[in-house]
Amino acid sequence: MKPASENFTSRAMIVSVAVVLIADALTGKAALAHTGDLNLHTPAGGFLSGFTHPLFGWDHVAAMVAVGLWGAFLGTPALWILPVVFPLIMAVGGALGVLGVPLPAVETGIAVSAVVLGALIAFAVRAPLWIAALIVGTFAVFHGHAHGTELPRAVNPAVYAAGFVVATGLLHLLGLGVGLAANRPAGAIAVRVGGALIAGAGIAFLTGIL
Amino acid sequence: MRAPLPVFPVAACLLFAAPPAWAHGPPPGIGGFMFGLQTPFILIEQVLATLALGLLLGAQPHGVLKFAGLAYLCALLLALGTLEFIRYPVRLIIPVLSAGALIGLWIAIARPVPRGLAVMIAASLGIMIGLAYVPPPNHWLQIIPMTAGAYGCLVLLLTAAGGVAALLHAPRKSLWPAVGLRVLGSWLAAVALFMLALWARG
Repeated sequence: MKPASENFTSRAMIVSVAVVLIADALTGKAALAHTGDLNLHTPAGGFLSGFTHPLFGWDHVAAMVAVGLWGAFLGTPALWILPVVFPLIMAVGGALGVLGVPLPAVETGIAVSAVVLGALIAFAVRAPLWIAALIVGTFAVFHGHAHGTELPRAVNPAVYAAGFVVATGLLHLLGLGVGLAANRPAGAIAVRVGGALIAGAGIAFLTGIL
Repeated sequence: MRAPLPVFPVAACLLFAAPPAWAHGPPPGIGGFMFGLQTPFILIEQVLATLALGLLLGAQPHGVLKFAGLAYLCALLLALGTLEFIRYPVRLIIPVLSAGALIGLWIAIARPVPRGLAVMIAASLGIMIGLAYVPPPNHWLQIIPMTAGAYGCLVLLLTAAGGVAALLHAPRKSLWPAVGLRVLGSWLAAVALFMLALWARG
């Protein structure tokens, strides 16, 4: 039997959705042959711009996946603490970037994050939770600062922020999902190899090869 | 046992479907109602704070959900009802965003909320959000549907978020839904913090 809160919210949801649908059906609409471009001035375009910003930087992608991998490797509660801490501190870094507070060597910091996190996974380092959160939080500032300073002028900043936060979280989820393979012997080796590859990619970013 | 109707997929299909052809024009006021439904998305901090409140309340016991949810709805209605007396919107961006950030953080740490505190937060948010609405100087027959649309949108956001939180918070063997709820809270807090920085920049 479902708890009362679930029944209440389920019924409320159905009623609310029904009201919106009825109102929508009663409204006259134009027939549209084309949908128009997803430009930065639209909320969808702004969200997409923010969403793709981390994805188009392989240094961001490598580090985000590494956070998820390391969280999965460390297990609970790091499993949820790292993906929670990272976006929060990243937002602080983003705020610093938006406010024009200079942060030295941002791109170097991002590349170093891939190296360090990849190495921690490759060498199967089981750091205490507070150290893991501190490491992840420190690197999150650099990533956030990069997103904040690269905020396109034309875009709605709120939806842009939502976009890069969601993309970052999904990359963490990807890392967590892959990291769960560490529960099996062959999977553990694969995860450590993945960490080594991420660290190698970080070195390549630092040296300018990538 | 019959499987429950998948509400959101069905609703999404119906929204994208072609609307019916009418022999006469749409009912008067329905355009204003639909416009009102969209207005919270112009004041994006209200969407964020309402979603955060919904996620927080959905994960609480039924007693807290009921009283705090009602507090929000009544406070919002009360604030919207003062439109007659105020002609300039009182857009409390910093308090609303700060509340959204704090609520997001609370969701992330997944601690129970005392009933009194939940009611106070919900009522305060309802008042702050409602005071931001001032309709254009139109006839009352146009103002009422627009205001009703805005109220309806916020109610929908609150209940949808509450439903998601209730689903994720329900006791299960897997810990992933609970982790997902904490992560959603952190995302909302992160976006709220970023928006506060943007507001500070000007």
